Amino acid sequence: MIRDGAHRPTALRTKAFSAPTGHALFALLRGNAAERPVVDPGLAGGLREWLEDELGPVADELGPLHLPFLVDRRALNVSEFDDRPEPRSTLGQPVGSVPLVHNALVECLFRQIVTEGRIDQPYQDAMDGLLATGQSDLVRFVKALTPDEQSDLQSAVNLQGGILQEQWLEIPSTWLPRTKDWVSIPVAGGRIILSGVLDLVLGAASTGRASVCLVDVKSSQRRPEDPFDRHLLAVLETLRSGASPFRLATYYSATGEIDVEEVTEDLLAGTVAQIIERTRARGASLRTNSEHP
Amino acid sequence: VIGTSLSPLALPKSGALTDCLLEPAGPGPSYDERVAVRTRVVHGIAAVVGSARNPAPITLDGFHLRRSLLGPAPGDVDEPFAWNARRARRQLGLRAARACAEGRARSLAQGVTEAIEELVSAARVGRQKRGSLGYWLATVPNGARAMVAAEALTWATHVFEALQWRRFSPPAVIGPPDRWWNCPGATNVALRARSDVLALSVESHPKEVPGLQVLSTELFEPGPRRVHLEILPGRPASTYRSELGLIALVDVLAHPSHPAPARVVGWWPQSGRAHVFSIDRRVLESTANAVLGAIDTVCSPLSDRLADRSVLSDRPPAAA
Repeated sequence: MIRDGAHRPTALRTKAFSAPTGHALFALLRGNAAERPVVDPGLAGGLREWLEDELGPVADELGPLHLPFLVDRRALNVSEFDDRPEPRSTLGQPVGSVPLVHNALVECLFRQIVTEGRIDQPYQDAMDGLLATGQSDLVRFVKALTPDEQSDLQSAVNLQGGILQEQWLEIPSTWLPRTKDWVSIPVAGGRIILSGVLDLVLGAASTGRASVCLVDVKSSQRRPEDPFDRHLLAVLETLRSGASPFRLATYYSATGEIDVEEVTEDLLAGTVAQIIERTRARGASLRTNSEHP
Repeated sequence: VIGTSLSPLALPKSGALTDCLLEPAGPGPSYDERVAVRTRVVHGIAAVVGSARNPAPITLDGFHLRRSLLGPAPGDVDEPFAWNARRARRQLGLRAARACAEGRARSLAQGVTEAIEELVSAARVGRQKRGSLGYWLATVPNGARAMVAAEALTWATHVFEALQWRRFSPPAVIGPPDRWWNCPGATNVALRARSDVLALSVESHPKEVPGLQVLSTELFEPGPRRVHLEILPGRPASTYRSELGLIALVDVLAHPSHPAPARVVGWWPQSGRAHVFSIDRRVLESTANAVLGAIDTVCSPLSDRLADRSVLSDRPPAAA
């Protein structure tokens, strides 16, 4: 039943909301505790077995040169934007790109508003945050921008900082809010690593009912791949904790919009099918590139 | 590394991990076995370090042990240590989780805020050394401190959600002091082990331990025994046995007359994996081998470098 790849995630359960604020936003994320589904403890094990069975041969074919093979949203993404190579440092040149640094700065502000409930000076706080999180490459990149480029970046970051402050109150501590929670799931004997970062997790670990809501934060415009990105995070969280989350959200910090979606077994199964399909395709592409560089 | 000691059906995982820690202890290494391991380590270190002229101080901890066994990770750079949010998260996260478990903080967020404020206050009145976390925190602006708090809060949540704290009697100790052992006869070598949670297993009796009837009851050291939980980032590396065994080995080296810890549990919350080790003679011996190998790796190039330097210093300055 789980392995029926015909179960594809659909957009039918997704609801889009235009810039909800404060408690209305929180209500979308936490919903009604009594309505959350009971966890099927066998589901996570079934999904993991499926991945093990299908990704083992992919790892066998890849060969040691490409192992361990990191499978994250970037590796699985089929959109043109994400196929662009990572900016690389050459001979001491600053590394980065404006979208990359903009995203990193907004990420700092989002973490700050969730953790402290306030932002004093968005751009300055975010730049200080970048340094504290060890992203000095990006700070150097910003400092190497022209004054006009820096001014544009500052305006864009301040704008999103303002939106964050309008929408987000201090999150109740009983929801155990945590930000930038890394997930790393080894499969196929550790030769393939499924990996992702949960921008915001709300809720304590499950004790029988699904209890966690995941929020994926996007500082850019909407993209067709956004639903898959959050579905991937749901699979990772299910594999890690043994219990699926009950709700997913994609928050767009440029507009304040939020897409909210319930997690179902079909959604998770369909996403695992896509992970397998895309990992195979990416593996085949790597092999082809190795054989015909 | 694959596998986990927890059943995927065991929910919540905090209950299963607590069960692992509290389980009655089996027979551990005997006093003679503990002394034998200690003697072997002392002699082994003396042999390795003795060959190096003017050896530099060596402190071997889990990180250096892993690095020695695996080689540097991609991106590892030998730069002087500098604090950042990630490096601060464990210390602050443990303080926050402890404050919450002891009822001194109403929430983890409050625990993190207070942990930062305590360290900053101590630094401002000169009670923090230069280079310490408090000293650094006192110098960074608000935006940076917010990221430190965010990172610490995420880690504190992993710590606090790891176990069912009320089941421990006496209460488990969150963030006990690091354990140190200075090698007698090679005072430049120290082993350092960290434990995130120290607790006592349920008291066990010989009749409760299967297979113990065939052993002399004199070998059985009754009473609850220490158990350690180490909470680690990422996923288990292939060296995890040695990394976890280091806690038990340092305990035994420092106090060979005390019973060894009953077990060490490694918990990787980011991958949902756990590994449980009952401590016996074989675990101590294999960890001791890994430690001696790591010290040998550190000392060999060092002795070569020192030898080269001494040769150079005997030479007259090269002509310009």
